[in-house]
Amino acid sequence: MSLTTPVVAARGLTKTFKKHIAVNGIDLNIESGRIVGLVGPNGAGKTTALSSILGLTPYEGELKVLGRDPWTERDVLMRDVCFIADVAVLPRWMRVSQALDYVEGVHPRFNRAQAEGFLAKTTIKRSSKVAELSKGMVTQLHLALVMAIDAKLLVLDEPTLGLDILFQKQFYESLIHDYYDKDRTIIVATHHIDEIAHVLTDVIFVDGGKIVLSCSTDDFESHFFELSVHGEDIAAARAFGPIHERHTFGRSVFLFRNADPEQLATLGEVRTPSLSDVFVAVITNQPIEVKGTA
Amino acid sequence: MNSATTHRPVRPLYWSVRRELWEHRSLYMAPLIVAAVTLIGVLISVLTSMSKSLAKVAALDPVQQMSQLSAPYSALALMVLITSVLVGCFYCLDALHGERRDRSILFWKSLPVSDTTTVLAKAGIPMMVLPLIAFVIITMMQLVTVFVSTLVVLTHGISVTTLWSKLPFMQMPVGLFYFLVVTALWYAPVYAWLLFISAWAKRGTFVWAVVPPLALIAFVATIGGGSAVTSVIKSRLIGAAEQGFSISSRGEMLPDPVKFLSNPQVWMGLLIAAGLLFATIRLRRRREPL
Repeated sequence: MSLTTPVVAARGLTKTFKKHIAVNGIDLNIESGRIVGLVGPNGAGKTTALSSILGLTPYEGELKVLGRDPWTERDVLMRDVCFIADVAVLPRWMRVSQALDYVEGVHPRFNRAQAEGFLAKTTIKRSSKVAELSKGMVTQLHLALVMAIDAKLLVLDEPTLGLDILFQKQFYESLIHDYYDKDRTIIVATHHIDEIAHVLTDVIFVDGGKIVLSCSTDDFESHFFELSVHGEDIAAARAFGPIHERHTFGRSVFLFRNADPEQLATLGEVRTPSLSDVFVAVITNQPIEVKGTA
Repeated sequence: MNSATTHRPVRPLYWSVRRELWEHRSLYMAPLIVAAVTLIGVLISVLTSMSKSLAKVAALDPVQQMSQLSAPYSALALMVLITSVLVGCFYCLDALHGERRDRSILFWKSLPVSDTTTVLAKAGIPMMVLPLIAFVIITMMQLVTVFVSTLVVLTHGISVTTLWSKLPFMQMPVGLFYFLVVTALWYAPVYAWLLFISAWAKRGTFVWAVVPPLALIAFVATIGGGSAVTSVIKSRLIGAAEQGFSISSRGEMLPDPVKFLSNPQVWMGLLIAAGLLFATIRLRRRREPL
């Protein structure tokens, strides 16, 4: 069953607030074993879409997570789904030992020994209250709780927001080394796209409540090219129809989608662009000058 | 598929109740402190005037003897009871508001605990856990009082017979237990109303809880039919003892479960409580951080 049921299957997923449409008819199919990056500017609908997937908010359209309706079956779904929300949400009065006791008491797939093992690598004391921990430690604690749960889907919404760069690196390292395997699926919503680019298998760009780009990172490399050219070749490069151009230090950098890399190579140096450059290009969808103009 | 059935059994309701006690230590600390302070007062009066008053009591008729002797025990019980009802009210008003205010609702909702379990665990605190705590505290304090009284009487060379024969040892815990059950059932709609408001209101839970009943009283009063509504609300707030007990011809308060259970107001209140709790569960499902 788990081989054929997609982890997330949405058709026409829509969420309307009083006056604006936060999620506007999204179709989504996420298979097991993927690490999906959900990227979009503020207010793009990322958090709302994730809230629907997690059963935190009602929605219109069809949505099944692991074959279940998240809105009516949240409690059952949460045996197989974990999430860390965009801000520290562990109750501040709780002690670390109480958090372990509680999750062990209510979650059938929580492995306490494993959580204790993760905590042993940190400086977090069992008797500390969450309020006494630094922001980085709270995230470490939450991650230790979540990683010790044998879940099928993990959803992270800006998990490293406000963390210093050391914690950020550690966070994704433990996630990939100690947690991820082929039976698990991870969805990460973030602004810091380049920070996680190397671990993603898929990227989804959202803007204005819609998906503007959805592809695997392998496809990404064969579809998007970055060409940097000098002065006289700019016009020739423009003729190929770039989706974006920018000028830096006397060079012009063009971004192409579905172009022939060999043709481009005759004009200058061709590389795979960074996710964030493509993100900016796709979201703005018009040639604008981003970095220092000539 | 099979792996799901082999996993550890869990007790979400039990742990949901425990976590409430972790968060709200005042649930047992406040009754304990009030009981301790009252106990000190009772013990001081026992130590200073017990031997004298016992002589006076001996001259009274048996019913008065009993009420005189058990007065400090009733005072202890009443103080703890009032405290636990007040604590229960403030707890309810915060129970589903606090978790939205500090955003921890996102943590609670990330675990396989249903909204029904969560709301019932919270409703169980004032309706079951607090009465139980009150029972244990009151009984312990009363035992301490009996013990100290006996010591005082003995050291004054007075026979303990008057004290021991006139104190209603069996009736006290049984009556107390009955009173706690009556109170919990009678206040059920009040607690449910407060829980509902704590799930519903964005801010100012206290105002939202208090103003509508007051407005109702004021409105009904202005159109000239005030007394009925006012007396319903008043008896709901302070009439628990009246509903559950009868006054005997000799002036004793006797438990009267038949009177209590045949009172349609009791059942109406429970029905309203159930309706409000159902609405609270539905609300909690939609609730997100404030």
